[in-house]
Amino acid sequence: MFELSINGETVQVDVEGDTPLLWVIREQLGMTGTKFACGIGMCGACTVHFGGVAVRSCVLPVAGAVGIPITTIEGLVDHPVQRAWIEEQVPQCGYCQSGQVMAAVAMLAQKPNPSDADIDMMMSNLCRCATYDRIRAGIKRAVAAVAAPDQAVEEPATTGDDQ
Amino acid sequence: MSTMHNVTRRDFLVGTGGLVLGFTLSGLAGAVPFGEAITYGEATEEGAVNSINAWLRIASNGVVTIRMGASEMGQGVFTSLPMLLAEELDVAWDDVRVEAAPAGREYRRESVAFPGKVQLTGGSESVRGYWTILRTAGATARAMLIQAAADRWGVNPLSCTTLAGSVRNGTRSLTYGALAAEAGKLSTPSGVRLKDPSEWKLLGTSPPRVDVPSKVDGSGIFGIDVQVPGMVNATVRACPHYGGTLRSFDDTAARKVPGVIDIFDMDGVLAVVADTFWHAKKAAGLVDVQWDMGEGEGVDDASIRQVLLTALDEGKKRYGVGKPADMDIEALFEVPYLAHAPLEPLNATVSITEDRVDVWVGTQAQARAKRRVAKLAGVPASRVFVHTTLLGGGFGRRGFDPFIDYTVKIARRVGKPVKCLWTREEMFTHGFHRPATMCRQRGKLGPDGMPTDWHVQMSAQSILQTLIPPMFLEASFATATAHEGMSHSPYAVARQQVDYKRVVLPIPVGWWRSVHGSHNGFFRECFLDELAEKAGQDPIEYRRKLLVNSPRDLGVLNLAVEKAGPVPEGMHRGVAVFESFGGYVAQVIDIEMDGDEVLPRRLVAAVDCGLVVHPDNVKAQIMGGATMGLSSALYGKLSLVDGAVQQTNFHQYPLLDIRQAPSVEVYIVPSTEPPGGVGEVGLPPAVAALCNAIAAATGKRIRTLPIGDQLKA
Repeated sequence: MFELSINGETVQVDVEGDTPLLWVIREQLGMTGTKFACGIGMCGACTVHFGGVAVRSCVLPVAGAVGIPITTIEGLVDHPVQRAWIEEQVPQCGYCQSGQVMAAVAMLAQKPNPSDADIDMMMSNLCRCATYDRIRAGIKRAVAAVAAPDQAVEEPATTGDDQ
Repeated sequence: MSTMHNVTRRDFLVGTGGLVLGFTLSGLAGAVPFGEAITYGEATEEGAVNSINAWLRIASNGVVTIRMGASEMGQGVFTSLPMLLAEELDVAWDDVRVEAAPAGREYRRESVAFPGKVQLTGGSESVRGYWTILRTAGATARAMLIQAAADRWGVNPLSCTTLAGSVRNGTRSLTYGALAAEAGKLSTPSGVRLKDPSEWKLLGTSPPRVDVPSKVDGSGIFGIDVQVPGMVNATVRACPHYGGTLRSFDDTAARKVPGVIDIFDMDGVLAVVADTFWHAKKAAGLVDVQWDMGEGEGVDDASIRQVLLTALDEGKKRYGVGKPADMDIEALFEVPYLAHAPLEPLNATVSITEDRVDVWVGTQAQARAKRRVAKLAGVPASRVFVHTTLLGGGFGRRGFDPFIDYTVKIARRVGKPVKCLWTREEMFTHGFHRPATMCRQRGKLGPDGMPTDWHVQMSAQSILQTLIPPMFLEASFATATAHEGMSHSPYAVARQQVDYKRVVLPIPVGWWRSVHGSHNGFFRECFLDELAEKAGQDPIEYRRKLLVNSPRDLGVLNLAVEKAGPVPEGMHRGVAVFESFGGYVAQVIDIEMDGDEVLPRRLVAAVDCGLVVHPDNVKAQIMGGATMGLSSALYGKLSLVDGAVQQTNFHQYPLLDIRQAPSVEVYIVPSTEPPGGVGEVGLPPAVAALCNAIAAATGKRIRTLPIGDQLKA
């Protein structure tokens, strides 16, 4: 039995200690926003916050997750990054985007105004639909919204012109 | 415009049964509320709900629910397709919400690539295939609502108009919500008039996509997220050697994993069932399996290359072009097998009860799934209900369905609802890959440097190899789709010839985003640059001269070049143009070289895809297609040993990441032509433009993909 702190709640799960946190979240706790994609910590679809830091939950055994606060995508509510993602219309298939959002939120907690080089280094999550250009735009929009909430741009900034 | 789609209210109710009536699920933490279909959009139905036809129902509060026969896999059809209907219905977009339609005849569409009507998401055909059907459904419903209002007022329907969800006559007005019950009882009119594009209010605008909010808060339900009470979990291991099978296995160690329910040989595929997927995956890895290599034995990269090379000269039928010895330039191009690698591993959830079979699956082919499930489960198709979830990437991979077959077989065996989920390793080693393809090109230049003769020889497996009997594949050039984009070239060259020879190998092949454009864009547009170089001419001007008879190709080329402006200091430029699926795209890419590493910095695309439904989505698709193309050009390769794919996960099959992704600008050529495809068309030119930019930067012509470490000193 392991006691975890997830999204501000304490839960107990009866699993083997080598069970990856990802599968505890998905199969024991029934929260499906955190995704399985590679199982080897490569792609980032399973990204959650672990003590505020972005980690890949598919390779984190639950036995090592006790006592440290965990946040999943379900624990984010109307975060500026989520709003920016909608305004920039970032997702396509959307499968990686829970992880992308969690990675971006963790990055901004560490680097509130990241440079392009910071983004290159810290946003290593994969997106098969290749929405990277809009992910970058989404991060910049979230930064701008936090810096000057009253001046947030309303209209989605599209690249290229309209007809 | 006059094509009528025959829809009746009964069709809708029959269709509804599968989703609404049969299942009420509760009691499981996080269980998917499949008591009703998942809807997308902010609006909420209130009061009585009445269906008008198979495509839409209207609630008392005016909220319109539109059903979509196409699957949402990121290409935006849950927004662009309902817009077609909403435009003609004349309803405020904020009052529209969307749900997936079941598999059913009434949800089929027209097809360019397939005979007859299909319910299949692919071929960049969704907007084109539903273009008339959905606008007609909207216009028909509007006519019925007008008739209902006219009947109530005792006036001529011609004296009535509509505005954003209400029917008007002079100062009188009735909402669609108030009229829906009466309208739904009227007979379906025929010959409704569709709007001229000049009358559009919604089409051509870019409302936010209805599926996006559920994709930023984790609430969107993909196939992998489906949970059914009493469900068990399974995974599979198929023979890693294509053409081989399971010989024997020892599951002693695997059986000791807690929660394991069953481990069995499922027609040559190892199936492992457990309480959770984690337990099933862990147990599957512990099974000691002996495989028979079968036909796969000895099939590797070198032997495949030899087969393709030998076949090149066998496709030749005659010389309509200059003989090889007379040509000025010759180049051999090669591309490898590719994996679709959608991030959501394949999965399906199946529940079999006495009176029905329910399948929850992210599929591009729900109609085909329904037929196959019925056959496998031994029930009439009318008792099979396919619930299409969001797809965590398709790219062609989710059009094929052994993964659904497996799940049905396992559910029959264990007698419980089952979710069967593949591991990433299973995904990489079992696919329907973009075929390895070889292409030799020869060209002869006239005195002005322009090509007079262009000879193309191609060899590859046919992606239709499992769908069409070989005798028909051999019978005609047309069934050999491999030459798409090489034949029907837009370039004005006096003598052109394309030869194709089909080869037979035990590697499963299929449609991969942009299909043959994925290699032919590279072959054609890189060779064109080589011709220009041979002629000592600028590749952009060279293309312009050759596109005299192809105004749409020329239009996108000119727009992309104009928007790109001068080449920035320290950058190197490549250009390509390619039409596929009725969408014309030109791309200009500027790259930087960091030592021997290629860094694509800026990609400017121009697209002419005819009338545009949702401009922002067109831009998103061109961006995604182009960037995915760059990923495949830089890294994409599956290699084989004894018919077994050697890449098992992303550490061996890298995808482009944000550091290498260029900024992308997309410009749309205004057009009144009928809609063309969008979802795939951004990919082909990107591959060629990148390689042409590398030649500009380094002088090295990339003729074999991926680029990989070819630039390393």
